[in-house]
Amino acid sequence: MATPRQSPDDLLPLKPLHFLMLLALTNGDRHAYGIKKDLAAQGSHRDLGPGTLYRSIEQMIAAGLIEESDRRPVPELDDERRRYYHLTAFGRRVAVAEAERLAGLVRAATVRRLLNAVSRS
Amino acid sequence: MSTLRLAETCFRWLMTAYPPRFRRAHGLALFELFRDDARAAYADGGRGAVAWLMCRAAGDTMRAAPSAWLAASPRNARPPRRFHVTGWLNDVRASARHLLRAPAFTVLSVATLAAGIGANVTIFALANAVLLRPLASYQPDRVVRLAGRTPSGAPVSRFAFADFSEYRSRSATLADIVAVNQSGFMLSADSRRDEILGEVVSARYLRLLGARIAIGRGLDDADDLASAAPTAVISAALWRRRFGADPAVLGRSVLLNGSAYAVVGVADASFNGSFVGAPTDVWVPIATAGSSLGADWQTNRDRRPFALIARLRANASLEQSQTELQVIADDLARAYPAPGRIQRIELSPGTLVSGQQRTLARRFLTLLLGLVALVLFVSCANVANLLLARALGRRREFALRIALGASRAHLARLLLGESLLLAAVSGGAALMLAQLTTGLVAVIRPLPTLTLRLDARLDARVLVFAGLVTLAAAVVVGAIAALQIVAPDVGPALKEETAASVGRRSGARLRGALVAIQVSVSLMLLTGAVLFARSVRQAEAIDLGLNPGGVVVLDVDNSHRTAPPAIRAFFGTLLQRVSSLPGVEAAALSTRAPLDTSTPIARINALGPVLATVDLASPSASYVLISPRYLDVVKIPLVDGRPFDDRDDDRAPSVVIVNQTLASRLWPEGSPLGRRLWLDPQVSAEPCTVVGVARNSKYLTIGEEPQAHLYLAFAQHPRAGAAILVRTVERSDRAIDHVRATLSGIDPAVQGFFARPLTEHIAVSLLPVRLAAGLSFVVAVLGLILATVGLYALVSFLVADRTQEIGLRMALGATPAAVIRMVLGYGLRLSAIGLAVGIPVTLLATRLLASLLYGVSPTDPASFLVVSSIVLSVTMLASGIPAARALSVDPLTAMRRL
Repeated sequence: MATPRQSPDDLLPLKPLHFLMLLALTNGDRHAYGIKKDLAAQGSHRDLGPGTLYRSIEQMIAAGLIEESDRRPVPELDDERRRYYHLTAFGRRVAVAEAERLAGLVRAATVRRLLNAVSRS
Repeated sequence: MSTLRLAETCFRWLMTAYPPRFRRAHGLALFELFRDDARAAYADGGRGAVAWLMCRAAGDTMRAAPSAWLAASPRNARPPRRFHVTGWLNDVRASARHLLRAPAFTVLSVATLAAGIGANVTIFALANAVLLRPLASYQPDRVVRLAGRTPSGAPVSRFAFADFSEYRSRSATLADIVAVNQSGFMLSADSRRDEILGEVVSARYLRLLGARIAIGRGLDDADDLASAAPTAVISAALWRRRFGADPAVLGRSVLLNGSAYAVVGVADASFNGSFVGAPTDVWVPIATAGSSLGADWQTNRDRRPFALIARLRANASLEQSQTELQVIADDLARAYPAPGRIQRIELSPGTLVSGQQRTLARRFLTLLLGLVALVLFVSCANVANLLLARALGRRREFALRIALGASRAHLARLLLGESLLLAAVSGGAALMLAQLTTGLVAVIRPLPTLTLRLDARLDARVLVFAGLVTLAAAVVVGAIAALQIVAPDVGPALKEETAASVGRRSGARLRGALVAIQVSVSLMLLTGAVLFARSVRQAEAIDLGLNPGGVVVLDVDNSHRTAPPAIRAFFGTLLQRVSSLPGVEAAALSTRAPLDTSTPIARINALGPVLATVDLASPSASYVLISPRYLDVVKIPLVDGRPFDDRDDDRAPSVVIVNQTLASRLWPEGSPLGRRLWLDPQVSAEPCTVVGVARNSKYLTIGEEPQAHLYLAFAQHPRAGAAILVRTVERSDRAIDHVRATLSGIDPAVQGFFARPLTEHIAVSLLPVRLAAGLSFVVAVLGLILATVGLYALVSFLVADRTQEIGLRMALGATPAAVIRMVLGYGLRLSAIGLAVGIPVTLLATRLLASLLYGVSPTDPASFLVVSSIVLSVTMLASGIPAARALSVDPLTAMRRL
């Protein structure tokens, strides 16, 4: 269960799928289908199956990264059938920490000219 | 729309894999998500897309469900790990105890499963040797075989040396390419002669395949030079067999077909060459041995003796290489048009068989694997039945365990553990069994002088397969048994055992169903076997159009003579001396014995010369070159005209005898006699005059349709190699000795190979269907025995279980006939259901065999009738014995136990 005192670093590194799902929620609450569409639009996890999606949602709720949202969007955009998910403050901190971790890796790769070498070929 | 509904139903079913809590929380959303996807997929790509989505959904479920279960498990709350392991260990220990306590059950189950698994492993080992195991020992996936197709789509797997040189010099995608041709050698050393098989190879052949050399050296580039001294590498087997594994063999000079070769190396025992089943004993370089293929072996593009094997460059893909070789093949086809030119080049994996053989072998072995898989299923069903029967006895134990708080999952685990343990022991036994059986099936002797040996050893791939099959068997057995046990009603089972509480109803139904399925499966297997057996009979009864009885054949290789007059003189003397041997009625030469699939084919034209470039689609006929008395020897009658005689020599105009099919095709009206016929220029430069018409016979294969064929006079087109056919009243082995003696009396350097009676030569073309018949017979008998045992066990169990009831009935006045009716009726009902299900399924399944059958319809009613009655009588027997035992039930004893 989510422990508020938990440090974001305890959860790093995040699974790529979880990180992308967090990113999808940074622009506001989404339902599962919306998250799936966002991922597909970015070209990643196109084959994401419903089971994996909901299982990930469960895990992220359990870790306190997201929560079910009771706010609904404006009625004309609302889809009654769907449950909406909301990024928690803790989730945002974890996403930031993960992003920084990744950025650090990228910096390390750039310093060693790995990225340049890759982009040349 | 029904596609979508079906998909939704499937998905609902898939969702049952999730734990209830997960389903309650997300089931609806999950389902709606899937439904949206399915609709989108259907709109985009129709049924195919939905099917693909379904597959992905299944994969998704398999990934997500286990983690959902783990999360849902209440054990998550406590640290379960160590406890778990001891739980498993305890289970295994308990299972082992149970199995040891019932040795008869255990032995029977292990034997049954081992037979099923062993059959699968054996067939897989064969498939592995022929289709899967790579030829090369390092980077085997970069090694390919070259093959191709002619414009008419006929497969080509052999190439001319000149074409090989072209591919070798022009290809940039191949790191190396080698040519290999299998041929027979007469090895003479220490004044002993042995007929062995060898490969004439490019020097780099051994290196390309990564052959390890036991002692000495392999062949190297220097051996490929025409000026090189003749060298040979021999096999480890030959080294042991013939030279007593003496290292001094290195540097020795031996005679191969009369020429001296220096032995420079001995290959490791793991290396067997690249031809199916051939125990290759010697490798000699093409440069020094190529001339045995004929004087013009380097330039004649119409002689295609070589199989080509290549290794791709590290940076070249298969497709790139294929494209490049295709360009070369196109250039060759343009520059040297001929009927057999390759139009499309094909690269296939570098395994033992290639081309047409590979297709045939794959079809055959897949079929066999299917059959043995059925046998395995029958054995699993049997063992499951045995487990069930025992488990019914253990119902009270299970009920007690449940009442004491054991979870049903735990009980299921207990049973699964038991079946796993059983299967593991059986798997081990099966491997030992397979070790024996592969040795038996991997040796085929199509001719008395020729033994084909497959290297069907149980390598890592086979072991993995055995492991998987064993695991599958364990899961099937355990699942069937566990399904039955896990839902017992605690209450009644705990009560004192009474006739009513045995709980037979549902259990008996499942067990009965299993037996019925076994009956249908053995019906299928048996039908296959009977169909094969009948087609062997049919094939043997096919009218060959000739009489092979009393004829012996010997291939004569005379390649050191190249001048036509010398060849003519040699064969003339040979025929003359052989004809005067005691017992010989007639002797003749032919370039091919009848029913040889390598019989050549030439283009023909009845109106004018065959033009190299334009007539690629002109009619063609198979042909052989024969000496005058050939038709007498094989007893093919002439229907018109005259046979060849001694006047048809090189000074006389060319003559030809055509068969009826060719005659009626070219000259539907009027007599063909005296007409002229043009052939491919390299077969006959001048037109031939038809002097006779021979009755149709079989030429290449037994199953062939009537086909165009012609005979040319050997004296007018002499060849260095020919088969001598001798019709004799002597015993064939003695006749062969006489011919051999005559041969070496004329010229000791000339070799006679593959001496065999013509009947056995012809039997070779029946080999595939014979093999199929033999193996499927064994498999079918195995299946039937297993099914019979299953039925017998079930009915016996029924009798034992209902002893009290039977006793009661008899006490109340039931006649013996009524009791027998009851017991026998049960068994017969099951087999009737089995037949009712099995016959339609078999009707569908035997269609797959059609391409392997001769002259028998895959739905042949007689075969089905025979098989059904066999199955019925065997099942009658299997339930009759327990029925008789039921009669001996003593009413008093039975009543007392009530």
